[in-house]
Amino acid sequence: MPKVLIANRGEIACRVIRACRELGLGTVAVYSDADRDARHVWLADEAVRLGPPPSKDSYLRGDLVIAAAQQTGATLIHPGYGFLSENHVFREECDAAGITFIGPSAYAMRQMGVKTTARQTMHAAGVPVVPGSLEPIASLAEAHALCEEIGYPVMLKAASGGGGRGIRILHDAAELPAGFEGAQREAGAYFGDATVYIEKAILNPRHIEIQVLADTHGNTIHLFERECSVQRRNQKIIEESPAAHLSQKTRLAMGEMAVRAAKAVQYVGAGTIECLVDTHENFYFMEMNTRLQVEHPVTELATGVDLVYEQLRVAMGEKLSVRQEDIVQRGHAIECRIYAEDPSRGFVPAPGPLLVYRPPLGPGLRIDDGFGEGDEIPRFYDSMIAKLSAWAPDRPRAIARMDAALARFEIAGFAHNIEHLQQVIASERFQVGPYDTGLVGTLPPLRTTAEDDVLASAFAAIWTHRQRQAQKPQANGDNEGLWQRTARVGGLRAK
Amino acid sequence: MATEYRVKRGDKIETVTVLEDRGEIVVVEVDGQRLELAVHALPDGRTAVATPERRVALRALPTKQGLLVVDAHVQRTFEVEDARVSWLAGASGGKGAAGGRVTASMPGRVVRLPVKLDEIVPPGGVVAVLEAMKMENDVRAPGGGKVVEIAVKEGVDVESGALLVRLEPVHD
Repeated sequence: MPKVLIANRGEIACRVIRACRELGLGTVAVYSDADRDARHVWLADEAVRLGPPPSKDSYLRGDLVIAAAQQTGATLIHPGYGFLSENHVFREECDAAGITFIGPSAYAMRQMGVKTTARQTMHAAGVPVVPGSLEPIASLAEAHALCEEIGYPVMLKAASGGGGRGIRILHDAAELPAGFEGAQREAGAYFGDATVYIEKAILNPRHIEIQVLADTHGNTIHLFERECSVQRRNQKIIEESPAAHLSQKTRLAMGEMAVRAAKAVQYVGAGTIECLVDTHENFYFMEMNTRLQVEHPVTELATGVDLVYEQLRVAMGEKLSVRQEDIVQRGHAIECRIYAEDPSRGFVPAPGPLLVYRPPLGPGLRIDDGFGEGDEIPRFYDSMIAKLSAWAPDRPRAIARMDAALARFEIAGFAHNIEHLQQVIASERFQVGPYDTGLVGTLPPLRTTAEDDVLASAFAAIWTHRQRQAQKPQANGDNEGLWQRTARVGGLRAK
Repeated sequence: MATEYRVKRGDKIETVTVLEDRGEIVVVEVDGQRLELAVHALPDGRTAVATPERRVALRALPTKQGLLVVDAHVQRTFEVEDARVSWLAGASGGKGAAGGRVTASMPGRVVRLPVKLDEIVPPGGVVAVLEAMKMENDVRAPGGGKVVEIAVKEGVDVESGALLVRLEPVHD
């Protein structure tokens, strides 16, 4: 049976290893020194050390990953998400080494990787992009004319930028001259490429994405949408499928658009078309993620399709196991990402020991995790610990199920965001909707649980009291009290 | 016999007196409020603590920062000390600390002064060690600061309330 090397760590590595096992495929894990005892390492059939903890010395070292595959005889590499998953150079190196990279071609990755190229390709394929320039903007006069045409506010973006950097928002024509010059200067300084382009700014948009799957036999399908508008620091924390408050007409139009977009780059495997959606349900292509997404479980729960299983089938040259007409959304799924971070201090990462870890179980719940009680959450990588997903026949019941599940999630050892997630889930804006990417910013500071403070204080004293009672040597008739004991020990120390 | 504890969480200090521990029933007084609690050990290591109105399942974990009490995913860290010991030591940040003056909260002999003039003492740092009733007790400076006066010498006997060390706040 073929062997798959999983070039990743944490929950996604564990998720992929399990899917491989279900298909009877061998599995090879890779790890950095910080992950020597991590769950993905002992879950796999074999494991190969890559290097020291920093990602650039371990999980980002494509050469070491390929060497590990060759050493163990793995003929396929699953990149998971992040790390090497959208690196077209790595993909080419895999091809050269005769290893099957589980993902799209290097061509598709390149087409989607550079923003202006992706905009041009999508526009040519009839996919709506955010109004603005398709070509780089060369002069202030050109910028001025375009901004007047599309209307303010606008965004100036670095063509080679990414990760939310190199973006400026301009509210009116007066801001343009200084803004344009500044954007060019910044783009040149940060990305080594001074070219900028202009997009209409869609303020507080909804962030809705479409899952696609394609095989090498010419079949490309979509698996409907995920609503990902609950974000903090421009990163998603709660996702759901279907999106609440999206008309069936728009939903179908978006699915059709996503298939067209994937076909335009001869896409193969699992991918996601991310869109901005405004209050009138106008949707615009934002980018394509040429890999599996963190939030893929909500699509799996809502459609019943195992996306990793399909990825593995496609990589082995088989057809997708499902056709477009088989895909229906059933019920409602919500995912919450559990992060080791402190919401009361601007969501700063809070690595630490997982002293208590007992995720909730029950009907309609799914947990994707890569750690267990007693593990240390390393400070070198992403601070996501687990994903908790809930499925129910309708959205109100899915919310109730998630709320109850979060309440009984036992976790301790470092700051985490569970109470913050509960707050979002309980908020009227989330429950009633519609909501947009501004949701998290509108919430008040976290409530306190004063009601149970007294019981906790009392318990702290009772626990301490009992520890001290238990330490008293009483069996041999020595009835020394704390008072005497402290005196005796103190006296001994003094000598 | 009743035992009094000082339970500190952040800036908040509560006095919890364990009046009676009858196993499944524990009678405590939290800042003057008398509570009869049903206390029951659960098989997974947690302890169910209940009043007639409210029931919680708590887990206690000693950590370097103090006693971590976990209620599902709500974490509270406490410093718990025996009130008799803290009274002797004058250590608990109450009356001993006012105005940067660290005073003796009991009569005793100064056995050690581990600080020097101009030294910066961290919050909770030991500034003196008093011996009373054959016990050595650390005297701490709850707020910390710079040592501007050492009012006593090693070996001298002091009365309750005597000034030991005076500190000034440190400004960055």
